[in-house]
Amino acid sequence: MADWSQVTVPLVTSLPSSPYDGERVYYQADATNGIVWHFRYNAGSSSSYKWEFLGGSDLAVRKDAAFNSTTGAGAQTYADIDTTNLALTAPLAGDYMIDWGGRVNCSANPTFNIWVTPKVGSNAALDTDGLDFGFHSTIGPGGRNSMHAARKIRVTGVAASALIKMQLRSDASISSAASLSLSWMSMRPVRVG
Amino acid sequence: MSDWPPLNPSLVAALPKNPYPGQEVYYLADATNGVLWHFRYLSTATGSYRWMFIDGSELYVRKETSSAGPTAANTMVNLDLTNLKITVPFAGDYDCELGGRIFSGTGGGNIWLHAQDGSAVIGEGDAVKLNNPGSSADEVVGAKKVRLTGIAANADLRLCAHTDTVRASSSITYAWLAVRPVRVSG
Repeated sequence: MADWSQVTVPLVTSLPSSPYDGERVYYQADATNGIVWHFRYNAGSSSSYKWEFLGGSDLAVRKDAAFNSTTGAGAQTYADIDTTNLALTAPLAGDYMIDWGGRVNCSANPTFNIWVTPKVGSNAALDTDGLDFGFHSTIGPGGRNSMHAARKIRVTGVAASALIKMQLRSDASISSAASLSLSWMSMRPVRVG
Repeated sequence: MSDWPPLNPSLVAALPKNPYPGQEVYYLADATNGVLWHFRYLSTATGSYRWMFIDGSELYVRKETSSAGPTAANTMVNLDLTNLKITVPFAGDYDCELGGRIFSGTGGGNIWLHAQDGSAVIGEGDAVKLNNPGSSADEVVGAKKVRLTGIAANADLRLCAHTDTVRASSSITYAWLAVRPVRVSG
């Protein structure tokens, strides 16, 4: 028998509280920017996030202007880059793919690593989740002082309304400020609930 | 009475063997991670890849720790066929995103980080490249998207690397690979 309830998939601003297996919705993730996510409810999933992503656009932000890192002796701890222009809020609890990138520039012949890393909710940013810009004055053609790169990771167990923001740190002294520019971040769900 | 096709595409574990024009299905590509792919059958497509990918999440792997890179010249090296490999379920065309940090170990020459299907083709169109004209080791972090066409069913798409210069060592860290289909056959 035809499933007439699916003639039109509803546009919703919150997920149905009592879904049936195979139910689909278009979720309005960002009305301002026209971001709609298509989900299908998989009752047989072993995960608590049973709404699986079927398509839609990314939430996205960018910051072209330079962010100058704090200078100082020794390793620097993670610091926010820009919680307005380089941060996104996860509208639903779940697992997400996050893409980000940018250009790090620093003084000539630097010797340190700089990580540009997403901090997810209350969790600390981890180097292993980061985009690692390695600058070493003793290697390469006289020491490289600029790199432009990108990375993608899957983050799991993101809380609803969690703020995902970019942070930056170095592992050694920065005698003159390193800068991050042309930076960007985007995210979209894998599954939510 | 008309035989109406299902209005809600079916969730399938294999693509239908006798699809009708315009048939849509949801294929659970990775049940563990909830990766779902939406396909539509285009009967008029030329070639054998007639299931067109509408959207869905990517298959994804990553490895932060070091993998040994190439040391011999012009020989492709698989980085890690356990942790940096994605087996694709269907024959078809796929979009691959790849990235990582390449460390040359010693100076001179170039190192390329590739996404390939095991064909070990020495080139650079599918690769992130570290060019090191200096006499000391160098490193760079980068990313890229490439389309791999004509991939066989159950092929292992993997990260691999090659160099054009003999070197004592090289390595890749922070490596990752993401794969989504473009079009496939059943």
